[in-house]
Amino acid sequence: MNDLFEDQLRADLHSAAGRPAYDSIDPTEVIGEGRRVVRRRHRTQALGVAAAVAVIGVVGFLATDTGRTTTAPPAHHSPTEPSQASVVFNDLSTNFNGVEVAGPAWVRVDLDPATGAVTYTFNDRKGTSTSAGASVAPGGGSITWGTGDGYPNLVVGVAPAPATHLTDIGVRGGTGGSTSDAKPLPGTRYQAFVRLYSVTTSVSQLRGFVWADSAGAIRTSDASVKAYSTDFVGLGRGPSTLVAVPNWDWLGVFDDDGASSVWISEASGTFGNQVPRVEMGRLDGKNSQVTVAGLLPAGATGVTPHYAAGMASHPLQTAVLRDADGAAGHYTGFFAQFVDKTPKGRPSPWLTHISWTDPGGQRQESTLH
Amino acid sequence: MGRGDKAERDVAFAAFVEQATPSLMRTAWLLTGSTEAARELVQASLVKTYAAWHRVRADEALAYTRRVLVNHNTDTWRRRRGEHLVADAPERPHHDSQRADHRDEVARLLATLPAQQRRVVVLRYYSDLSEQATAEVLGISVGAVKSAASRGLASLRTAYPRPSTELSSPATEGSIR
Repeated sequence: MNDLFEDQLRADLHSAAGRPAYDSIDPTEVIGEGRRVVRRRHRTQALGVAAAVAVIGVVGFLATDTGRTTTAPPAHHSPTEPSQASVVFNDLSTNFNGVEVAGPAWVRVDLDPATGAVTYTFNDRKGTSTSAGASVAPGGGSITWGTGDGYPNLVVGVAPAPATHLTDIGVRGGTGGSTSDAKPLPGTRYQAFVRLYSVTTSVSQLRGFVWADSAGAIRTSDASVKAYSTDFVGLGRGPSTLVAVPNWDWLGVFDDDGASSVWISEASGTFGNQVPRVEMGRLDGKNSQVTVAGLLPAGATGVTPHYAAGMASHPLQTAVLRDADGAAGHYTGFFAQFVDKTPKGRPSPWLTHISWTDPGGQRQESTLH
Repeated sequence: MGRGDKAERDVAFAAFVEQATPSLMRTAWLLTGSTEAARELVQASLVKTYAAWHRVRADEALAYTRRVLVNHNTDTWRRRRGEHLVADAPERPHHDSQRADHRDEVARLLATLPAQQRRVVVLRYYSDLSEQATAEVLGISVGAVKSAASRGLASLRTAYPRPSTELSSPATEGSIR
């Protein structure tokens, strides 16, 4: 049964949506762009381009101001995007707890596909541009990122185009917010990305990036830093991937549930003598969707979870974590994702103890705080 | 496909663009709150529809494009939202009893809803889709639609300039005194 408010809302939505003066759309323009999309698709299929193996080579790590200052258009003017290997991010700003943080008026990222040379151009809101340079491997697969002089809240970079779940590591959750965007660099195997943080300490804490390549392997922005991962079955459509980057003290879950967002969280504990684990809860109506996941030493068997009082017990999936080349690491991952029907959600920790049998046959137990 | 077939297909698609654009633009505006963003969203959705036009039935073309539009908007929102969780949700805007026009108010309040609730409210109460149809468009469960609609309505009801129970008739326009 509809109530008066719903009727009112329907009427107001129709009335409001009918008021703006919309620009028309030229069918010829749409058809032209549509044809280009179809041609690109056919070309890709013909070439059999699939699942390229990304070769990680971090080069040109920090984009520093080269001192070049160019005559720029007025601050309110957005540059047009050149057709090849250039993208523009406009009006960068982020908001955290009501505090608005503005970045440059626009940032342009240019990539020369032949040489891999990257040029960042930052335009302040007074119309002055400064440029910075960096580089990536011309064939694809590498990443570069940095911050321009005068924009301590901003990180800009270039990453492989097939990368998904591009995640910054080292930024402490809860201390600030950020806004991010990414756009493919046309005609290349790269994408440009920007992240504007509400606090500058987020940039100084940033240790690097981790992402999933087109084959699903987990890569890091530092060739000397390995990521280990394994897939579990969660409640979402796709797999839930537990990712560990021990050198960066980071543990997270790449979990696309098809409805909202990727879940990332900092791990509790360290990679030393505690059991690192992540716990994430998302209130959905009356219920919470809960994820618990973590790491045990390699060879752990007979893993038994102990949940908080009042919680139903949910079995843990376990699997060995492997690096991007398939080599087993030193960890056994555990994972469970389930619905908890506690009204308004239950405070963590949900998983209070965990016990397992080590390779020597000894039973071990750890308390999780 | 012959040259004549392509030309015929393009003529049919051009006619569809002209016919469907006003409706799509209004939906996109409610989802984005900006005429410029709405235009970009509609254009991008139509381009995707063109690329799939050979398998889109004429009587389902509008629904198909609307699904593309909503999900394109979802992708964009996901990408721009970033991955960081924030400690506290931003404060909701204060109720302003002096606001005069429901039509302006509903657009402003819609923008305060979380993206999923906003999409559900628009599809349910502007596009008049059933819960099942809304779930299919968004690729979520009917339960998730009910939940998002319930929470979205509750937020809007609380923030509306005048309690709905005091309204004497539905669909009133003009000032609330």
